[in-house]
Amino acid sequence: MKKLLTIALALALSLGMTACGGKGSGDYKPADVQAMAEAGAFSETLEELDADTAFSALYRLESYGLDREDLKDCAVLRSAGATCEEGAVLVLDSEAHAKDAQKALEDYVQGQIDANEDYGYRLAEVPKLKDAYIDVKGSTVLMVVANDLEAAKKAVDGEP
Amino acid sequence: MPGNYQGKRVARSHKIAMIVIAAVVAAAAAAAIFFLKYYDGAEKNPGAAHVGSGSGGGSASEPDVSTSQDPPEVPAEPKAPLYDFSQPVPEGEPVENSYFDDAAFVGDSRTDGFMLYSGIGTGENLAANGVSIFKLAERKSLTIDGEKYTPLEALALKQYGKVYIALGVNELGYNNDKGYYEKFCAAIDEVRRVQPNAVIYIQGLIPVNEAQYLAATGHDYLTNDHLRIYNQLMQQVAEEKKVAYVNVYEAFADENGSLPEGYSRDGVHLYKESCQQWLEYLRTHTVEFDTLYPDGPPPVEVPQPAGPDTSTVDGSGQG
Repeated sequence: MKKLLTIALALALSLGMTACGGKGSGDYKPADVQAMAEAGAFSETLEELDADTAFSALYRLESYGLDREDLKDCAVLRSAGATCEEGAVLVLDSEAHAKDAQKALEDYVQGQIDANEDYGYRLAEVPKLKDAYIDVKGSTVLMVVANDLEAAKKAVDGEP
Repeated sequence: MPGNYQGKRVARSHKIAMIVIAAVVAAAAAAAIFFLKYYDGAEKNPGAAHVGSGSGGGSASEPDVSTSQDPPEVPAEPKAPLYDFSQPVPEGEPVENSYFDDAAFVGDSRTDGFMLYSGIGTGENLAANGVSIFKLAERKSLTIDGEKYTPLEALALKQYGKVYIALGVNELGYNNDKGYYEKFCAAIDEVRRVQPNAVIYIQGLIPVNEAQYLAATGHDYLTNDHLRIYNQLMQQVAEEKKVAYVNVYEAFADENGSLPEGYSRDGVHLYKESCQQWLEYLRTHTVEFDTLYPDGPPPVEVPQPAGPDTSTVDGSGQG
């Protein structure tokens, strides 16, 4: 009887862990960015950016109270300029810093919308920016400006 | 013997005359030597006459070299030829990326791409998508620490050693070359006013690929013919305002004066490898401030108030 209870408990724990840690849950991962690209979320091949460039030149995270060492890991794919498409996962050292980064990314996207509308520049890309998906899970942040947003979300959720 | 006496008198008179003439000649020669040695020398080298007599010139016991000996003949040091602002910056040894630590980059989305993809890893990115020379001082297109700035306002926030300006692609759709030239001159005046000690580089426009651009956007008003006119105008601006012109065009133009395929997806915005090539060109085309302005910083011209923008828009911005 005791043996059966042990097996049942182990099975329950195993199922529970699978539910928590399976695809579509938990923090975002840098690999999600490549998964979005492979799922056809973007209309062109995007350029890869390193963490240093993403931190300062691109997202200006230092303006949001973050230090470079607060950004533990990241993956960024971005158009060279032909479109506004972009995918990024930032891994911060705390949930609070993830919220700061989320604000930075929201301002970044809004800045692009403003610039494109003010100058009448790449107006066809503005809807993609307005549909940008920015989300925080734990200490990670996901941002997607995609040609096919649903494909991007499915890729992150692990759906085929 | 009066005859003999008279002959002696004449002979004595001649002798005296000879002595007087010799004395006069000797005195004249001495005067001439003195004049040539001191007066003329002092005229040619005024400083020599003042050695030892200036405020920091030493004591009276020191020998006065202007009178005690001839000044050493030092051959005049050949002066370096003045920088020719009508020509692009020549190729030189590549600088390290740290050269750009104190550089600011003002430009449009092409410059933005350069800052992100070239691998420069330093320098201030003051580029804004869609910005043009016509709106450089008007549109608050940059957000820094939560505040909105025009690119020129942002440039004034701190001092830089170099300012790189790359603008013109978004203006290609405008039919206002004269306005472009005047606005560029005014922009240089303003940049110099806020950055008087910086080397100002105007970057020539990298060509576009017209066919790719047409395929990507359906528009045909972006032409390399017009782009080359802008490059000529910017070179004239550089000469007039005495700033450096870097001919980045030559690094990218193929035999037809076009951006080759494979450098860009839409014919305008450059791939990462192209941005790296752009950086390599800038690294090998630099010039020092002292070379440009051996006599010190050039005077700052007060920018004239900009007139109304009378340009004609043929299309929307591109870069």
